[in-house]
Order: sequence, then structure tokens, then C-alpha cells
Amino acid sequence: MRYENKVVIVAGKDTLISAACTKKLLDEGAKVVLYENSEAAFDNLGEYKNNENLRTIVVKDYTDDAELKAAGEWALAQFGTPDTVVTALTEPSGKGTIEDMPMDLYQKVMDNVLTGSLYTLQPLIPPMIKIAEETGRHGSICVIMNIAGRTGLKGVNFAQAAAHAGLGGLIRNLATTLGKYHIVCNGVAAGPVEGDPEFDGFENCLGIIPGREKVTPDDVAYGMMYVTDDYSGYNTGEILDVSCGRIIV
Amino acid sequence: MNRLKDKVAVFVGGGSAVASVCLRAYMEEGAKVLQVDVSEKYFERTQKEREYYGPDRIQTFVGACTKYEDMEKAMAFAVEKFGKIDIVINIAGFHGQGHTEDIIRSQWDLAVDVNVTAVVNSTRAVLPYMKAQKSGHIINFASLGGRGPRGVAVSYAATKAANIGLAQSLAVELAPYGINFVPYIPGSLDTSEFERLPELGSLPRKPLPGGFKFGEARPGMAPSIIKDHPLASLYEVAYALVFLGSDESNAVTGDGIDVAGGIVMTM
Repeated sequence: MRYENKVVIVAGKDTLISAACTKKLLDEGAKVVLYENSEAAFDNLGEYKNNENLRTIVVKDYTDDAELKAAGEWALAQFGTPDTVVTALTEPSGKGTIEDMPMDLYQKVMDNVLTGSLYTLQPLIPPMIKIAEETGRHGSICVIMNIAGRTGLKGVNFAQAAAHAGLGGLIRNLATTLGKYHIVCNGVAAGPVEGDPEFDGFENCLGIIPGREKVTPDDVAYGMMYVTDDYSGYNTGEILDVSCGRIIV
Repeated sequence: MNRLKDKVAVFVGGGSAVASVCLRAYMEEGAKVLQVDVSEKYFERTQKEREYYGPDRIQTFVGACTKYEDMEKAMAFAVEKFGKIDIVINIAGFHGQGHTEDIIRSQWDLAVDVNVTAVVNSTRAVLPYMKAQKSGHIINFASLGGRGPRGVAVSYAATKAANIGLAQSLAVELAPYGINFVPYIPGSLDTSEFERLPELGSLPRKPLPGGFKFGEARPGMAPSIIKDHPLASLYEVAYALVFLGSDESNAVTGDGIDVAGGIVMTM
């Protein structure tokens, strides 16, 4: 199995994507620690919720540095230092223009998506570096974002575009600073996801493949596995677009 | 390991070092493969695999990717032997020799023929089958040499860039038929496992300006940023091609897939 004896920490925010990633990783033999922002979010796991290789923790506020530090310490105590960390943080914000979007909503998107990803990774990276220096072990990070941060999408508000584009910068910065420790950092940029209402009504966000205009949570999870498994060692600073071709038009 | 179970793939340029390791990965993942190359000698590298897996899993076809008729026959042969074609990987490549001011026209033309026109040939040949089944994955084996300065011959830089552009255009054109088309763009590869076979029609390489050797880091050429990992292993390449050929990448089309040790960021 691709993740046998691997430890993965997945940070989600009540998304179908974080649940799909967790399920696929468990299927492939990983031990997984899953962060979600509510107990109810774990219901997305279905029967996997009671998997013996899964530990779960509620992170109520991804903008709270102290809470993420505590969550990181707790996660490290479960299965040890992670081989892989996956973040999949979103913040719904609906429609809005630069003139009418409330600034507190804009700030909420930036804080939860961009700052939340940073806070999640901060306590986990030092132990990954330590293990890499001691053993030469390959580590990987995957930041899951959406295509609003990759290209202009008419109608999608500027907060989403800025926050997710910021994740692209975070990915490239981490790649350049962590490469010397054998830790790669890549992204997966998802198009509109089936079952997620955030991009409903934005026809211009859809993919170009008939019948596959939206991506599935599993599509994104497979992309995440492509950029984090043992064969990802030469791949860093890249963002895989999983958008059914939307990115090229 | 069944990520490609019951999938049928055609490797155009199937005798190359990359294709030989990719064949192992595709076998491990359950696929059936037709190797297509311009001469029998290129298949010698994979004799062990053919003996181990047998003709039910691996077939070979001698044909030139630069000739449409050969590609048409190759695709028909694949369907005859395996019943369908799910994946085509255009791996055949040609570097050419020379610098902008003195490149020999025949070398330039061959690079255009192999790196670009051959993709048109193989795609046109496989389209009737993929259109009929309303699905397919086509992957161009492009190169970082087509992305930015890598000290490669001008013929290689120009035609690999064209190879990427062609793939992205065809991704848009073929999406309505359920066909994904992806340019796969690796950095430098570790092919030391294999003896180098000259590309058909190639001339001996000219020394690089400044006295540098091929594969040697030189000023202006960005290196991998990953510690002790200057080159991609062929297995890393092969498993990227497993992902791109499998249903796991059904939502990926047109996007250039770089596997380059972070080089793209620092070019």
C-alpha cells in the first residue's frame, strides 16, 4: 500500500475534500490525524469514523495560533512525526465585489484560509525537519486550494482569489526553504467540487469536459496522493490543477 | 496494485529508457501495453519484462511516429491485440544538434517531426477509437527544456515548447469527447541504468559553449532545490505517468505537469 507505515496529518474545515483525503489515505495504509472545526464534520467520514488508524481533533478556530499549536502537539503525540501534512482550509463567502463585500467577511476569508494554513503547518514543520536531518526521511506537504487563486473567475469574490493565490505563494516559499531537508511542498488547485455550494451559480468556473464539469472530492484526494507519496520526491513548488480543464480556458 | 487494471496503453517511443521503466510500472499496476518504436533494437531493453509478462500483457510494433500510416497501423494493432486503447503516451523524442546560428536544417526538421508532428500523427490515429468509447488519456512527454533555459539544443527547446502548446490546445479541442490531454514536463532524468542509444538520425553532439559537459550544472542554469536529488529517478517519472494514465486524473487536463525538483520556480 502506498502509505503503509506513514503518518499523515490532514487539516480540514468541514469540507468533503478533507474527508475524501482521509478515507483514501486510510485505504492506502496510512495512520491519519484529522483536524476538523466541528464534531459534526467527522460525520463526512461515514464508516471510516471509527477506523483504528484514525485520530480526530476539533480545531474550533483556525485563526487562533495557540489552539493550532496545542493541536499540533496533540497530533504529534498520537502516531509520531508526520511524513505528510495536508491542509484543505476554506471559508465560504458567497458573492461580493470590491465595493460591497463587508471587510469583516474579507478578513475572515484571509484569516481562515491563508493564516489558518500557516498556523496549521508552523508547529508541524520543525519536527519534520528534525526527522529529515536525523534520518534523511522524505517528507511532503500538500496545500489544497481552489482555482480562484490560479486564474481570474468572473463573479468569484476578490477575497477568495487573494487568499487562495496567497496559498500558491506559501507553497512556493515552503518548497524553496524545505527542499534542503528533503521535504517537498506542492499544491492541488481544485475546481468547483460536487456537493460544495460555494461556487454554485458561477457557470464560468466549470470544467470543459461534458459530464465532468465539477470535480469530485475523490479527484482532489487522488491529486493530493500524487504530490505526496514516495514517488513525489522530485516534485516541489508545483500546483496540480484538478479542474476538469477549467484552468486552460 | 491495480491503478491501471484492464487499461490498454500505447507507448509511442516505447523503447526509450523512460518508456522501459514506465513499462515496469504499468505492468505492476495491471495495464496492457503496446510498445511502438522505430527499430527492434530499442525493444531489447525490455526483453525481460516481455518474457515475464508474456504477449497477453505486452506487445511490440515497429513503426515510425513521423509517419501517419505507421501510427494508424500501430493503433489498429493495439486494438486487434487488446481490444481497445485507453492511454497513449507520446514519449519519442529527438534533441537535434547545433546552436541557433549553425544548426543543420535536417536536424531541425527531424526535431519538429518527432517532437511535434509525431504527436499530431498518433493523436489523429487514435482518435477514432477514443472518440467512439468517449474516453481516453493522452500524455505528451515534454521537457523542462521547452519551459525555460536549460542549455539544450535550440531544436529541442523550440520543439518541446511546441509540444506543450500542442497538448494544451488539443486538451481544449478533445475535452468534448471525454479525452484528457496532458503535457508532462520533467526536469533532468537519471538514465544511468541504461546504455545510451543514439536517437535515429542524430549527429554527435557538439560541445556546449564554454566547455561545459551535458548534464553538468553551469551558470544561468537553475539546479534542483531538493537536497541530494539533482535528477528525477525514472520510477518517479513512471509513477507520475501512472497517475496521469489512470482514472485518478480524470479531472486533470491541459495543465502542464512539471516534475522538476523546484527548478521551474527558480529559472
